[in-house]
Amino acid sequence: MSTVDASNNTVLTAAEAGRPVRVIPTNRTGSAFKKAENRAAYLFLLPWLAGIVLITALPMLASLYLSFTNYAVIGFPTWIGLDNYVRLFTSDRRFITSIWVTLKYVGFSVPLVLLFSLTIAAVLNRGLRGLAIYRSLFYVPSLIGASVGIGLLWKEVFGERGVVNDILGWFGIAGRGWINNPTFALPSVITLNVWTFGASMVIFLAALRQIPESYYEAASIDGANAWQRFRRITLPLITPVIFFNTVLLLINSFQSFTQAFVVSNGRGGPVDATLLYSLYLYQQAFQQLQMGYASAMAWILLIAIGLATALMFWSSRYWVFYGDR
Amino acid sequence: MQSTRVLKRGVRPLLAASILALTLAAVPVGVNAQSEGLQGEIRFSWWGGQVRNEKTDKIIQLFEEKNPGVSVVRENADFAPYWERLTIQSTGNNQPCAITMQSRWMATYARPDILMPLDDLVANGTLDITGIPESVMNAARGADGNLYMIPHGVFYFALMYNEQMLENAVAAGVEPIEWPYTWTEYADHLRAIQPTLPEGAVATHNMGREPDAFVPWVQSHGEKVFDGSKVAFSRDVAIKWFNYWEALRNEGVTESPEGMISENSALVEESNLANGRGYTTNRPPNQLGSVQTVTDTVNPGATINTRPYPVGEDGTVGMDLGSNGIAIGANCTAEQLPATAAWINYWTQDPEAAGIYQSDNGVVAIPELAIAQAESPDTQPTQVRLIELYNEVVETAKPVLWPAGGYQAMTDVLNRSYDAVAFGQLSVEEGADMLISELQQQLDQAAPR
Repeated sequence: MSTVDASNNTVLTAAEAGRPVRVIPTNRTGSAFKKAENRAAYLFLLPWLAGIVLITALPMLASLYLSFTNYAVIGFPTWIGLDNYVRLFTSDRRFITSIWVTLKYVGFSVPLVLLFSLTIAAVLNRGLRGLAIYRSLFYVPSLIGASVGIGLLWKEVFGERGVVNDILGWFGIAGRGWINNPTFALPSVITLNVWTFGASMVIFLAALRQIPESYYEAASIDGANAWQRFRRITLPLITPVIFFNTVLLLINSFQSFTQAFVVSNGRGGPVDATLLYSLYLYQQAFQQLQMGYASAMAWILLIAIGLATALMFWSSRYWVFYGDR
Repeated sequence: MQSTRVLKRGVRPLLAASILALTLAAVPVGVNAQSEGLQGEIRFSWWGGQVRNEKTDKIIQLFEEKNPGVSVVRENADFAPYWERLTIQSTGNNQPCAITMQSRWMATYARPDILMPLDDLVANGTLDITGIPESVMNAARGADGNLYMIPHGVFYFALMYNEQMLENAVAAGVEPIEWPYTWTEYADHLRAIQPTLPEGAVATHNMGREPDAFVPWVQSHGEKVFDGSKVAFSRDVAIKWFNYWEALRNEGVTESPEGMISENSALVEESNLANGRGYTTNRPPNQLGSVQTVTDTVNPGATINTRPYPVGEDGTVGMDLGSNGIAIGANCTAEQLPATAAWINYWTQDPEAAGIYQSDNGVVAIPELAIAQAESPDTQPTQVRLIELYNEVVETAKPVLWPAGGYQAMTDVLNRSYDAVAFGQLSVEEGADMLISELQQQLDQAAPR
């Protein structure tokens, strides 16, 4: 029996159109059909499932087991219970240092990246000519910023005979080896991270473009100045994106490694000034070959990131505005 | 008669064939394989920079020309990443067949499931150790007594200096020094030379964080660096070491602490020595050739030379000696073994290969080859100097027995403890305490269980 579609066109049945009719076998019950469909679904899911099990879940379980062992990479792991965890919190001075360095890094990096990316996005959103070029230029560092090459470049820029000191020299200021000084090494690494604000900026830019122009026009008619429009319209409407960027930056910053590794030649120096948590974990695993100890560190990091993210989600109910509530 | 002739005709070829077969069977596996033509692919790993890579590649090409059935896969890396990679490879049982090994690092890997014990291969002649001194061979054994590498080069550490700066200083009235000089005399020499140097140059790189300099200091004070996997040097000798360099730093004879760290990781091209900003530094003498080549480019006219570390006040020499060699991965298959052994034999014994390598990673272990190199007009003067200096120090040097993880731990902890002292975060006493306690902690962690 023919039907009519949304555009008022007549739609013929297969039999009317002369097409072969698909016959559902009478011996296949509904549940058998469902099973066949499930099988097909699982088949399509298999590559992803294999990846998550073999590349993520099993290594994670292995790491959890190893965290309770003494495993020097070369040789076999021996079960030592909670010793690694106890040692980390009771007798490893560098572990505490690495936490402190990481907290400082996260504490400065995340707000500064948010601030820079939002400010530049707001400027670019004012309808500049050549926006695509600017957007690309600002975005590129976020693609290459975490690379070894840029780390090496940064080392030269902030080195004793680097460009920064050359520029300071024009003003008669005697520079120093910024990345080789315990006071300035971490700020240099943070600066490098802030320079990679492009990815957050692009997301902010997309969010800013979603805000209807009429809101601003109405506010202007009511006499709101630029700051008031930003504070009362832009900021509340982009809080979900601020939240999203903050969570992403937080997770990435906790795991930051390459930049500190490159500028300190893998040592986290000088005097542990750039000893980020991931770098110390790497040292334990691949330089001192304490894979069990490093596994315990990795699980502590996972828990810390989980807690920080959970805290963000909990706090979001007080400051993130979704518009539909 | 005829029957006898027939017998002879029938038996003789059989006998000859049997004797030939027996003879071939008696010939060691490696030699047999070489004579029959080797087959297969082997992986060879080494550390080093461009000059060494080029030499190694040339030797591999020659070996492959002589053994057309063999292909050598090259795996090279800088020194520090080399060991990290080897560790990861060893964990996955994926180590190369031929592994460049160093006595300082061997304790970490010297176990039969990582490296193949080589005694049997030496005993049956598969591996050729002809001419390698017994003392050098003994240093290639693990704690379990097994032989784990065939040494090809003996290395030592020394100081490099700019000859022109010294000549200018002598012309200005500074007394030249002749080895053996004490640490005190050496410091006085540096103090005297500082005012004669160009503006911005320093007399010495600050070696307070350098294990290669700290070891001769400890041993020249009559102490051992390690006793098994225990720290054996005293707190007092560590305090004196930090005081020695702090005094020179505070007098402006060395770089700033920032400059010290920068110099520590600098490429030769960027180093103070090559660029005429420093009179002396510590670098392995086997790098003399490459340092001179770079210096010729960035600071033409300067000549770099090398000399031993100072001795103790009582004349005790504290220099360390080590050896580099080739080990065989425990995962190397029986099919790959003949080609691997032939490669090691070629690398360690062949005069042509040794002539190309020119003791690039330590003075060639076979004294006859070292003499030939020193006398050859084709050998670079810098490599001749390397061999000459080796002959000066070899009798009195004291090889350190580095425990598992020892070199890595010493580098890490000495770097951090002296940095903390130089940046004023710790007193020299606290720095010495940190050095000993954290070094011991790392050695305990790395000790085989």
